[in-house]
Amino acid sequence: MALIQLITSFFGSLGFSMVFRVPKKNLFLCSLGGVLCCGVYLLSYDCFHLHLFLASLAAGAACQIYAEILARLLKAPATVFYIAALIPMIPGGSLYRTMDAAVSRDWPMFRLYGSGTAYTTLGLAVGMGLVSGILHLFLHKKKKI
Amino acid sequence: MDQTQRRALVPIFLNFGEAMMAAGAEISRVEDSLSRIGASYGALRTEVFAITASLVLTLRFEDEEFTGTRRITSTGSNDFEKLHKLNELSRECVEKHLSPKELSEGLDRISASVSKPLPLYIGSAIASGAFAIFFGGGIFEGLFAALFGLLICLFQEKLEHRFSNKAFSLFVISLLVGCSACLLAKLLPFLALQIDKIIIGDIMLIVPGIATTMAVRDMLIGDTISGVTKLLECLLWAACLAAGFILALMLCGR
Repeated sequence: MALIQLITSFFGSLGFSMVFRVPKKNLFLCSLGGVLCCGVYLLSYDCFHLHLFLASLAAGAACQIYAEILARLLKAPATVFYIAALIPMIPGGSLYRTMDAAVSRDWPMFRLYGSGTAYTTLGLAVGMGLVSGILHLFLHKKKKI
Repeated sequence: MDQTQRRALVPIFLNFGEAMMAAGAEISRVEDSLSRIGASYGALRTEVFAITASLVLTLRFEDEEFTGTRRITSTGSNDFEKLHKLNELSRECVEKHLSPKELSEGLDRISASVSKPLPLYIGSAIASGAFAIFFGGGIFEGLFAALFGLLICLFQEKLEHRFSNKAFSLFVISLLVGCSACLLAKLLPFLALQIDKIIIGDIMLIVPGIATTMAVRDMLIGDTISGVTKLLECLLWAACLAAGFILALMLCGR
């Protein structure tokens, strides 16, 4: 199951990278970022049984680190790499299950999936923000006016 | 540089910022790039205030300053090929001290370049198919999700610009996809399709997941105003999307 998810996350990121018109030479690395992000998530959520929020945080941080490294090596904007890497983490599935629970008036499930969707989004953003904040501390000197 | 030349920098800078935002750059990147270019032209300070709806720019030289504003209407799409080129142009401008005319011409070249639509269709099909399988669907779910992915892309390319806002077009797309997935399952009962997997694969294409995450990230790194506006927009989009699918599921007897 995990293997299938890793393989399909590669193609998912590849598809989105094509939609976002990532230059051809970076397509492979962008898609690989998706696998990395998904792998970190699976490892921390399924193997180490971390809370959903922390697992997403780890995935977000991993994808930001990956993007910042590649951006410096390849002289390309980091945006390109972290957006592609984030793709498999989009909570599309849990959003659907939240809606489905709302339609069937299953309110406990609605709460469960709804909070899951929020945790994932928040976790990813906090992870990414944390890494870029730390990088900013070390890389940018305060501009003098 | 004399006063006229300095004044002429402002519209070029605004065009540059607008092009970056239209290509999907984050707010902090727009502000950063413009400040760098400004410094390379000898501006003491380049003040950029960018939110998703507008761009305000002030260039200050020793004895005078120039301000310009621009209303931004097209954000939310990503075109990384253009972003890449804009990034290269700004680097080149700082390193090689391009003249304002050269910068403006480079910008026009990038803005005028038309990209082929084929990768959009292939990419949408691959992505939605892959995610249908990612979330536990079988090979048939993947194939049908890819087919719907193609149709969604066709819709976005040909019809979306006729809608007054993106929220409404998302509602229509999700309603159509939801209904056709349910119909498909009723027409082809022998395949025992899991509708939910097909729909999830296609949701991934249109859900503003990336934009939401970016909005929260923007807020966390200090661009609070643009983060909040973007987040509200995304929540509205997600609600419309959900409403479309909910309506579709209800119409098909759930």
